[in-house]
Amino acid sequence: MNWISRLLGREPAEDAASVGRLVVVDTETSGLDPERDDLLAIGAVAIDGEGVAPEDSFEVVLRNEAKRDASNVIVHGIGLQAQALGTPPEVALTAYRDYVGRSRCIGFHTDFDRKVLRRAFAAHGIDFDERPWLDLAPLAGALHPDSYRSGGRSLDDWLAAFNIGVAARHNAAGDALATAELFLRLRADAARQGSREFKALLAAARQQKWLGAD
Amino acid sequence: MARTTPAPTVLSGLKQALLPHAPFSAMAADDVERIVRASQIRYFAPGEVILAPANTPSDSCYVIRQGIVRGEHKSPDGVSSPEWELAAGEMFPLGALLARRGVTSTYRASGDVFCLAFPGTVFHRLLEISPVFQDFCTRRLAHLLDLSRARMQAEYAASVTEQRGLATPLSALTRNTPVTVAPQTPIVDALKTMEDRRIGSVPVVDDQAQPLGIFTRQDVIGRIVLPAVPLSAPIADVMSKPVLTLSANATAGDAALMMARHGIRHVVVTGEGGRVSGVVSERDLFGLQRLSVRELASAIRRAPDLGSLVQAAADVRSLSHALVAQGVASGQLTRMIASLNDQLTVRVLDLVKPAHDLAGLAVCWLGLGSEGRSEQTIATDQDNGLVFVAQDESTTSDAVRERLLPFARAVNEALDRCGYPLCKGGVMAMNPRWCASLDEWRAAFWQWIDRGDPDSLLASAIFFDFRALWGEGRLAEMLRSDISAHAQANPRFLKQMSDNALRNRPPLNWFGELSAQADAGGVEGIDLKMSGSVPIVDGARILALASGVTTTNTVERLEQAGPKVGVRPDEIRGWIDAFEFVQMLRLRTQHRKASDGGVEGGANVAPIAELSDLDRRILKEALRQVRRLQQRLEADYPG
Repeated sequence: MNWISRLLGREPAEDAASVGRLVVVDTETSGLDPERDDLLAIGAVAIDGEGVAPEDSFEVVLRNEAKRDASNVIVHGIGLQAQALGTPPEVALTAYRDYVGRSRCIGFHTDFDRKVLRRAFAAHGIDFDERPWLDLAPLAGALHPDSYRSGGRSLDDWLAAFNIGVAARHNAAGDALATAELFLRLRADAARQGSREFKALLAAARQQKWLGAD
Repeated sequence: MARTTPAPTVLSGLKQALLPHAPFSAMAADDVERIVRASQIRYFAPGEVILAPANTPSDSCYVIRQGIVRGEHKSPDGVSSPEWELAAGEMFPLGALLARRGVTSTYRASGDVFCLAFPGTVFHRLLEISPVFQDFCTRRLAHLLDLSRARMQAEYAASVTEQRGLATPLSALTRNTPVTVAPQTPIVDALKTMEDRRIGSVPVVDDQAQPLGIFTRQDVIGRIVLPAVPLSAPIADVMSKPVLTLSANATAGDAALMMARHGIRHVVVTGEGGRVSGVVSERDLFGLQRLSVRELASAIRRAPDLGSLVQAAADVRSLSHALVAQGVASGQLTRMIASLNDQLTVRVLDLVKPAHDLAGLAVCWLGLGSEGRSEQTIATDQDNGLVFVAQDESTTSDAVRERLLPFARAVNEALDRCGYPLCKGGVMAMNPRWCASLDEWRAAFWQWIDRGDPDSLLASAIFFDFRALWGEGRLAEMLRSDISAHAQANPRFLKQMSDNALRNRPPLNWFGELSAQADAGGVEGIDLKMSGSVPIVDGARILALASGVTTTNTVERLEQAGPKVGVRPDEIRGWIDAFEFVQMLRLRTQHRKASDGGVEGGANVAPIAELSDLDRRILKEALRQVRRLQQRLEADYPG
């Protein structure tokens, strides 16, 4: 029995109802620096009980003034015109906050998304009561140590390993959907190793982060 | 502000994933979106049970997004046996949802499986509002067959454009000045024009000779007679419009393609300034190939000598190939090939007979095996026999045989010259064993039925399907009614036949996947004859013998015997569809191998790599039907 099984097995049982709604979030930014680059788009999809609920999903492109640098457009696909025509940031962020509500959040490499979101909320003076975030990057590594050691660590690597297709990669909502499917898969793996409860998954991800170099 | 929830990208991504699959591909976009929005994406780990047999009605419909789902039936002794499998894009449990009952099988994830699950209420609502969805759910197999046929036609149309004959420009096919009528022309006058000029269609044009519509002979019943339109009404009221046109520079291939795509028989040809310059009909195009069933049949009947029959037989084969390529349904096609072959055989017998003295003998030429069942495919060798009765009862059978054998040999050799090779197993009238008196035949059948050993069972598969082709049909009828009664009274023989029929198992592996076998050359394929048609033919024969049905054609046997032994009509339909699909695939395989030069030993083996995804799915479904038929036999004749 490895540490993760012990950890997952030790958690007290939560009843199914308290699992509640989870929200898988992905952001697109104008660059790779969460401290400097702008938030361009937010995509999210909810997990309610057993599965992903496409009807309960969220997508917004934020209005950004014309930027000096168009190089990143290639990656996130949000053209300068779309950025200019997007939703005013205050409106977009408020809509996002209302969409998430009291739900807990899930992402892949969540440190990045959290910093970008925090900065955006602060910049527009909007109160934001941050929920606990589960990071699938370390959780995947914890549940599949062999794959992790052999080098597959990016979202693309994990999606490929589990044969999960992405209709719109590098689109915030498209990536959120793929990440949500990855979560369903990982949660089932965790259940076999002991527990599928959010708190247990959170603890496993945190511990892996301490242990691993991630 | 743009809509933020639900996310358009999420909905469209999920919709896109459904669109390559039937029925979603043909459904209204709103209805597909309805499914997506009502769905939950669910994950099932390998081996996880998705649905288990229950008494309560199923409340969700699942569409597989990724992975394989396996269905299992639990037998009374508690052993689960895998039955079939479903792949991405497929829905389940259709039967349970349609009947508002619980599922009877276990649905298990065979690897990582992601499904869209939507409520049964949405499923039932879609049945009401979407004819495509309803049609699909209630006629899954039949639907797949239609798709396959449509694709074959499209392939054919694409391939004919490459043929030289169909590179002919339409201007070369439309001679003379075109016959047209004005829109206000009374229907009666338009019909009279068509009759006088012996044309099947007439374009309706304005005073600038611009096409407004077209009226064809095929429209008469549906547009004039049934709706009781007065013949004095203007032709414009009943013409088809808008009319599909091609320029005179387009090729016959373009016209064939247009006809196949739109399901029409006539294309209007336009010349300078868009003026109508003529009409090309389907017959004009296929006339390029010089063949039609009717003409061929009459050429055979009137053939003055063996030489002309040899030519006619070659024409039968090329016509069969052309029709396979056009996607003509297999039942129709094999019956048509059989009918032409019958006429050819009859003509051969008529031509050979005068050189032989058959006076004082009642003789009947029997078609056996696939010929007896009217199910010949293209690659077919001879299976025949002779039954006789001597007028003078004192003549011994051997003496009669002495007289008949040279005649029989001459016929067999003539058929061989016509391209129906001599039977390697010697099942031919020139073989003294199969040139026999009515009593001798009867004795042979009695022995097969009473012994039921492997040789007898092998023989039964060929001889029990005899059919009179030429001569005294009464002899065959007498033999048939005697055998029918004797077999029906021998359950032991039927049981032995059933055991024998169960030996050819459909090649579906444990996971319900097609399991191909490599041939000598290492090419993986499915033996369509042994694992597809033979088990159905055998099953139909047993059902027919058990219920006293005397017809020999497999489809007719299933149709007539099924209800007598209490098989549900939808089940019978499923078996027939499966049989026709496998036969169609056999014809196509033979057609391809023949076009690649010569039909070799593996004429019935479909290389798995050459089957399209759609064909594989239908073949799997067809083989599942074979399995069902076999299960029926197992239940009727338990071990």
